Amino acid sequence: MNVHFYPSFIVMFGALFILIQLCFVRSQFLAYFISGISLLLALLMQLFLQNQTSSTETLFTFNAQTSFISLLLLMIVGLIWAQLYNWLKTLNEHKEEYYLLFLLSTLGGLIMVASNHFSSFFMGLELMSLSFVGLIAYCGHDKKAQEAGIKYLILSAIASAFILMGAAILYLQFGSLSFTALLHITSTQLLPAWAILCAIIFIFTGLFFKLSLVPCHLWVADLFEGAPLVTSAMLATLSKLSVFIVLWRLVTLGNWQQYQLIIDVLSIVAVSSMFIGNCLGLLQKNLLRLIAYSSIAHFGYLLIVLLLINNHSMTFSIQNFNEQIMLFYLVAYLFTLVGVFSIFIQIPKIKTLDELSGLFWQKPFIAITLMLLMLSLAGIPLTLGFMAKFYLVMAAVSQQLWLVLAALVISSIIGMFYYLRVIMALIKTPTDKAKFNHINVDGNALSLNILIIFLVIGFGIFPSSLSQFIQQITG
Amino acid sequence: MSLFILLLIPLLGGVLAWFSQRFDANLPKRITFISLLMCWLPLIPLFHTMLFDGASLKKSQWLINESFNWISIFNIKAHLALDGLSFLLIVLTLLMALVALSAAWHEIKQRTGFFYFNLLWTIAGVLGVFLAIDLFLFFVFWEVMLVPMYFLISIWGHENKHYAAIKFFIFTQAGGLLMLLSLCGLVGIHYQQTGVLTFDYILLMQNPITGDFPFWIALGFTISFLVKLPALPFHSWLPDAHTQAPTAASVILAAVLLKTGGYGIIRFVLPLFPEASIQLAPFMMLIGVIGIIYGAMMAFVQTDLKRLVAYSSVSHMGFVLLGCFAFNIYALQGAVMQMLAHGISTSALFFLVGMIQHRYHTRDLNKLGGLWINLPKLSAFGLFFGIASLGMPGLGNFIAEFLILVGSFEQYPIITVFATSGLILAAVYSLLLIYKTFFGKVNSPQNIKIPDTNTKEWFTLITMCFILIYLGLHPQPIFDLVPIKLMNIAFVSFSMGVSL
Repeated sequence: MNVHFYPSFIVMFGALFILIQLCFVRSQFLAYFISGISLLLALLMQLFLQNQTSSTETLFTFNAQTSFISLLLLMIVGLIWAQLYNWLKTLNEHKEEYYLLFLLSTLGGLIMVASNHFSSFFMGLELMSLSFVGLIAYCGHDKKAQEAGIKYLILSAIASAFILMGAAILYLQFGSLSFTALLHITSTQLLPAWAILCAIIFIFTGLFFKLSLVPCHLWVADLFEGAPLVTSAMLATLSKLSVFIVLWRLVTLGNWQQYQLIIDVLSIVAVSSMFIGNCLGLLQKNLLRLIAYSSIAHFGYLLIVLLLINNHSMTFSIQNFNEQIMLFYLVAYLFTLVGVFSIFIQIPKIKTLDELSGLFWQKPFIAITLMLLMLSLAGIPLTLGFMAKFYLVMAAVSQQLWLVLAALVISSIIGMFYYLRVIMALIKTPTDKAKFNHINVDGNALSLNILIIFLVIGFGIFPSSLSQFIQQITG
Repeated sequence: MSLFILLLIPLLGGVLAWFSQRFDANLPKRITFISLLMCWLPLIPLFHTMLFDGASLKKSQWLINESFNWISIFNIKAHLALDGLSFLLIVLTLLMALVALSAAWHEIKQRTGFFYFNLLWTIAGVLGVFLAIDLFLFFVFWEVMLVPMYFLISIWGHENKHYAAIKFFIFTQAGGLLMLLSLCGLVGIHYQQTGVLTFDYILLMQNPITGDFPFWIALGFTISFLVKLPALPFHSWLPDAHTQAPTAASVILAAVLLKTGGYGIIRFVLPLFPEASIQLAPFMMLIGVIGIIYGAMMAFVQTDLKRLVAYSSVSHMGFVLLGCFAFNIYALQGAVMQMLAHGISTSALFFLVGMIQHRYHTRDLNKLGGLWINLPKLSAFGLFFGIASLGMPGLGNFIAEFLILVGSFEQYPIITVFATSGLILAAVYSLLLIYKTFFGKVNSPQNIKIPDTNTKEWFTLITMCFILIYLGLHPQPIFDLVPIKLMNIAFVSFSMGVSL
């Protein structure tokens, strides 16, 4: 038995325990406890596995990078879990099933991150997507949530169908569904090049949908707005992280840069995601929609990494520089985003910018945290988000992708406007002093905010420790 | 460590000022005052060597040079260094910070803690810009000083503050991102050509990059500095930001923030890209002249007093641009002098406008008039600084503009002739300002007793007067402090054919 399976097993057993618990006793605290224990154990196990030797099996591959990514995933899920209990108390539904679905989607993410085969990848993807349908439509009375759930169900089924079609065509060519089989370019070219390109683009379409990149982005704002808050957080972090890792692995292993068309498609998708994401956010008044659009743009920036893979011409003589950048960017962006969502969870009744106005003068600590997070998303120096963007720009400059870089700079400027609007709203003079009395900052939330500030500013000022850690993993 | 301490004092002072608001609303300004005074402490040893032993300066460019490792993956260092140019600008910054504090003392009554926190952090950012020698560190300070300034404008500003603050932030951030791109390009190409990965200014200067790229990178740097300067196509944030900002922020903006643009050109563009800047020079001279004339003409159609002064800044900073790209030692010295003199005279004007607005609750030229009767002292100061702004001989501004014009005439006679008309136009708007505000028909109700300058204001203004007169009568120490020869602006001697 491979030790690398243990974290996933622990999460799975946690989910099964909750199922058994539901047969006997309904208790939110017990479910919270079980899910917490299983996440904690999985996290510790994963931490312990960091130094294990890598191993590759038919379905899964485990090495330093996958275990780092799994660790990242578990940490993010853990941070979201920490706020789940108080948040769920505000819902009028059965609460225990939420933990079940929560763990199942985490399990799906863990499977995808380590997958090395289309079947395991697909299994993970479906496990995650189907749990998400439940998570999104969790509030039965909320019409918007129902609509969002159905939208997600149908669209993700279509996306899966695209991925399956692509995988089938690749199977026709390579005779295997393993990702590693993509490495070996067979001498007997069974299929014409356009068929393979077609397959790749099918797979891309499916994955771009999950990443909500342009032109498959139309669902994301409705979903973020309609779904319960924690579900949106999971969608924005867990789902996107695991799908992006699969996309990155496919592009790397398949050496798809050899096709000029693929490069073009990736560049166009990246550039249009940056622009359209940021432009849609410009006049947005709803906070969650705004974050949804910003996440389109950020994954557009991240796609630049894919353009750099397998192109070792010059990267400052640093080994595996592109991988490091990708991991750094993911860490930076996802932690910032989790921070933003945890602030939103702390201010549950505030949905729009107008309702946010004046928060700084009433609840300064929450407002300062949110401000710093917005600055990090906008990429102002001395925040984690800026360092990530700087690394990305350095990498892109080293390979002289001037056009994409120009797009990055211009769209960042556009994006800055709406992050500023949030800050602007925060520091407006409040009209009604009693407006924010319902927000009570308990010790739990306070310590979480301190942790977020520490991460975003601490690693923003001293990124060396984080980047050295990532260097060790990739090196 | 003294330079890092210099940066840390305002940063810590700011945090302290913010927290002290809980105990007493008057405490933050006292803490600000003390921490601004403490900022002078690390500079005292320098005053000693500089003023009494000028001969020792000539040996090397850097008076203090401190460096620590920061981000090892890219070989980025926390490298601060101080030479004569940055020393002068730091002295200017610290002086103007005191002026800003004096302006804010009675004006800011709400949320004092956060105000002084932002004020001090802006000062720290500007000091960092003038001290940072590692390009990445420079960029970080360049961007970070804008955030507290943004808060200053958007919280304590006047009627249309949100619009002005957003415009200010987006313009300057756009410039900043362009600089980031050029910076990474410079380092990347330098690495390709030499195999050395470094962000260090001194190392980058030793092996200038060659090929087609320097031109584009130099253009990127120059544009991002032009935004801050501001030169013509990128100036539109300035009148709004100045007009809407509280007086203290206007003073800091005019006196110090604009100077970072000129400083950037002299410090980075000219030494790092000698050939590219010779290629760029004609365009920059043209932009400079257009800025001079356009700024002056815009100034004399304004009815808002603050906007008038803001446009006069555009005009004056055109001279700085002219001086930087004339490739002549006189013009360069003139540009440095212009930065100092303009910093003092314009911030004094903003200070005066702030005082007038505080007393009359209007900045409209048409509603003011005849102030001399009620406020003789204030009006006398207004007359003095208005005349300084038009370039009266005997004051710093005259020396600066004269040197710039003399220097650039050698290279670009036609452009310089047009630039000279800026002096006449400056006379028009300055006299208009003086006439409409201090003389003429009394528009304000006379029966209300309006207090003249108080001791603090009087002392601030009289100090600024004396500095301007000193700069005008005895500018040589300033020129000695800025050893152009040591600043690796090698082409100056080539293109001039004149010994330095």
